[in-house]
Amino acid sequence: MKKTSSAIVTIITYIIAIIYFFPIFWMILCGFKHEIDVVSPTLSFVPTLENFKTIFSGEISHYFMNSVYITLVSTSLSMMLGVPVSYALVMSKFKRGDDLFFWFISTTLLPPVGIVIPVYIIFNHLSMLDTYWGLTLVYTAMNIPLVIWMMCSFFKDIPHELIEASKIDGATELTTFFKIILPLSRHGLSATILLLIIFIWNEFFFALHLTYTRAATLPVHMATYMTQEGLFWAKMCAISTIAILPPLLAGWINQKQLVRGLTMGAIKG
Amino acid sequence: MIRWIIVRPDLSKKFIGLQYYKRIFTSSEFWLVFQNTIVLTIISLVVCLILGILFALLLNRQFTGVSIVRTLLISPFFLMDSVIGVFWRNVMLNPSFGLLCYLCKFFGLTPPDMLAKTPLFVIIILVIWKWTPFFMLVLLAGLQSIPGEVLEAAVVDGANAWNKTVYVILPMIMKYITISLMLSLIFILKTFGLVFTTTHGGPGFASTNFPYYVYRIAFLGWNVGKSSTIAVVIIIISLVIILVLFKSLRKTITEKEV
Repeated sequence: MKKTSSAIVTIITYIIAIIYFFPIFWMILCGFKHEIDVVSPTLSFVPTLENFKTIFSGEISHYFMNSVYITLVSTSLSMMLGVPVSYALVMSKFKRGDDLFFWFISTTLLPPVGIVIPVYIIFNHLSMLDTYWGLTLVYTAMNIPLVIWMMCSFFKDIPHELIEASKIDGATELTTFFKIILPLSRHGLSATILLLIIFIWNEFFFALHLTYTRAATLPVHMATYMTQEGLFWAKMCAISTIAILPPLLAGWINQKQLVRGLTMGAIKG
Repeated sequence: MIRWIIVRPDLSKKFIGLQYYKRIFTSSEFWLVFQNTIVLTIISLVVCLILGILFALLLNRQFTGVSIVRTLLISPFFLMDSVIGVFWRNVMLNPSFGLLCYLCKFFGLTPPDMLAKTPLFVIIILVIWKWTPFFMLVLLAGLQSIPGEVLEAAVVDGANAWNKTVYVILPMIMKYITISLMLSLIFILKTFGLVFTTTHGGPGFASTNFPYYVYRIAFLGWNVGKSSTIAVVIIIISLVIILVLFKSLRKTITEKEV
């Protein structure tokens, strides 16, 4: 009796999961269809790579590279700036260091609409609109608090005695940081990097406002794709598949650490 | 507080004091947008929470393929808003060729044009689809932190599954529920990409929320002064929410350390 009910619950879980995932599955599937097969929801079709070929010979590679470039640069910049800050916040005894920490993280909570207009006007005057490093700068600034938030929670796990021990052994602050702290928190580092990649890759709001064509990222291109190209659903699905793949993979790898990252260390997953 | 319309240089920048504030608070548009934002946020939070608890409970068991199921369930969370929007608008919900239309015909119903008739509802569905995995992940972490002895004790005391869930499990993951509610509240208030790609805030203002409203006035109407005014109002509203969140988040984090 107990076994059957448990099996039923399991089957229900499977069904829910499949229904929930279905739109994504359908999107990936449609990317492999001929245009004519897409409008009729049939599962029997001749798979083709034609769509992927067409879109890669088109301008998509430009936007894809933009996305890759901006994501990588701003991820590494925010890591380089954010990790030392969080180390300092956790390890040294600042006066009111806690308040400083909350000052940092409160900036991530504000809605971006609040600052987009001033940023737009400033960028306009500095002629930084539609440039790579304009957008990179915004993303870096936006994500440093996130890095601090996450890394602080990981640094807090490192026992304080370890640092004292290394000091007694004659290590300088810098050696301690690079030789002991960073290797110890490598899981935290990788989780943070993956989370940043997901966030920056998917960022849409600033990308839409601050870029047009030259530095536009994939999300912006996606949003404008349909109006430019008309009803090419198969190609659209192919582009979508490529666009969602990096964050999807990053997320899948990162599942375990994700909870902690997303709740900003409030919960240890 | 400055009248500054970029496409009307003849009007020049001019300080006009509190006029814009007066104007937006008396306009019906603003209150409609306000109402939309509230409805969108509350409904999606409630449904996300319920679904999230359900999914988390379903996944908090041992069965074959549990990690695959979890992977499938959290996937929507990683998608970019513009892809979700464009894909759902066309392939799923298109009134003449969409998958939904096909399903409706299969069951002998007239396919509804959901994007035109109930645009806010569509956005709510998409927000729920995207944010339920977040709740699920956090609550699952919560469920797994409950020590097994507690559940055993409850069973020994004669609690059935329902009682166990309501009186033992839910109070124990209360902290996780509050955290996920507050964080997703912040993110859902920011929802922009979904609105932009599905409905463009239309028809009329029927599915415009605050971020999109600012966008509309600043970048489609080029009225920088007015949109800044609205942005200020939004920031004040969010600040109030954030302050509340701040206090409780701080409390939970410090509690954790003790």
